[in-house]
Amino acid sequence: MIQLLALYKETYILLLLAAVMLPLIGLHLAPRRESVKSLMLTQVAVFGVLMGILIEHQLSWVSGKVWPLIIGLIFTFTGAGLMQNKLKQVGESYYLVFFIFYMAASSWLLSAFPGLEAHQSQAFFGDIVTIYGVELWVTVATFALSLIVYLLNFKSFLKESFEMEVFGLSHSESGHKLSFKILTLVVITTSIYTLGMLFTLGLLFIGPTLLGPTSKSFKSFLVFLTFGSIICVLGGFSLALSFQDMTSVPTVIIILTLYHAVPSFWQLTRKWLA
Amino acid sequence: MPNDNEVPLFSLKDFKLKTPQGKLLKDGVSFEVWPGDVVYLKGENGKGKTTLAKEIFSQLKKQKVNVEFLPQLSSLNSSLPFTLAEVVALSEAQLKELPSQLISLEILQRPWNHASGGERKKALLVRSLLKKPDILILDEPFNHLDAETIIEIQSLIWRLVATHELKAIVLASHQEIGASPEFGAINLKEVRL
Repeated sequence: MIQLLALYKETYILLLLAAVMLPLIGLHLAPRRESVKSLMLTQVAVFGVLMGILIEHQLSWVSGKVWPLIIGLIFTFTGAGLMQNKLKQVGESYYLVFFIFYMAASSWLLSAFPGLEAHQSQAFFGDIVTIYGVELWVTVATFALSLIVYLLNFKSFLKESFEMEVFGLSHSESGHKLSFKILTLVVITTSIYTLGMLFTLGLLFIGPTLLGPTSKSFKSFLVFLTFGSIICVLGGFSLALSFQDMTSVPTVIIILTLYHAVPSFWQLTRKWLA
Repeated sequence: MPNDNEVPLFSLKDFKLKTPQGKLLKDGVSFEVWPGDVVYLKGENGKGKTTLAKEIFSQLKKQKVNVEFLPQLSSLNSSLPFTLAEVVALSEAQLKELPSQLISLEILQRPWNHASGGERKKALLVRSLLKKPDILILDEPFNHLDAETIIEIQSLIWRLVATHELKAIVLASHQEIGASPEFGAINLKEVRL
């Protein structure tokens, strides 16, 4: 086991950063009314990453493992830009339409190019064990830089999110900083590229959604969210390493959900007993 | 009354009040804001009170006046589990200068989502006041409050102007408000929309 841990020490660094960064981004999405939009953008990123892999496979003059990330980023930034400019006044259901469209487009891509099938499974469900080399270090560098930018703007991001929710302010009225939007798109796309859609969505939404209503203060929420995510992600991955038949990402997500559901379950039990 | 050589804090003359989409709501809106004034933008929903309050805020900002705008609450609850103290601390101002006569430290420890409407309004008011503005613009400050709390918040607002903690207040509300005789120093000016 110790040997396995030593073998995957770079992966642990990546998972540590992902476990911190993704929930910190995720806690802003509900107050900014961007949960459904983010769901759509993860699907756009999956499609973009698959397109990048296809380009890398088909064109001999294109090489390098970062192409799927670059194409993924082009797709998510374009998708987010189009949504911002064209769909300002529409309801969230429109994002679901685009989510469905990109899901169908990804499936169509696979039927046309069956060689992508293994990559599709990776893009949807991820496989932490197989992450290595350039892919791993590009993601570590991106998450580390994003974390620095996030922490430098922590208070202003929080203020914007709170004001957008309780005052119903639009992005421009709240003095919405472009840096949060860029940060979100970069982190989500990079996470999809390396860790897959299930891991990304799970870390973005499970902790903030389940812990929020049971926390007594934002400070305690932040402590439980961050440390809980780290323990669950590192613990889940270690567990998957220990048992060969256990798949890594679903194990992490199941542990993460159970951990964050404990306070809600405890509150319900106390109410029921009282 | 002001002297001839004095200038108002803000003035609007023959202003065409339009919606953000350009529809004319009212023509010829004119008023001045002097120290000690509480300007009451009065009108039914949809008459342009919020639009006018935002326009005043935007013009004052351009004139580099130290002004704060407290928008109306669109959602009572927040997905972020803040306490009232944490909401106040989102202000860039120093918490050490908390005006304790407005809200007690004990109340500030309550979670935002479990606090009463009045407590939330007071916390937001304190958050704005910590920035020490000269003029405070309040949009529908009495929404979601019971009659008793409305009177309490009104008294707080009048006191801020009467004690010169604020030079003036612009207040947009569809509810009836009246000057309180105990704060004779303030001048309640009604602008009907």
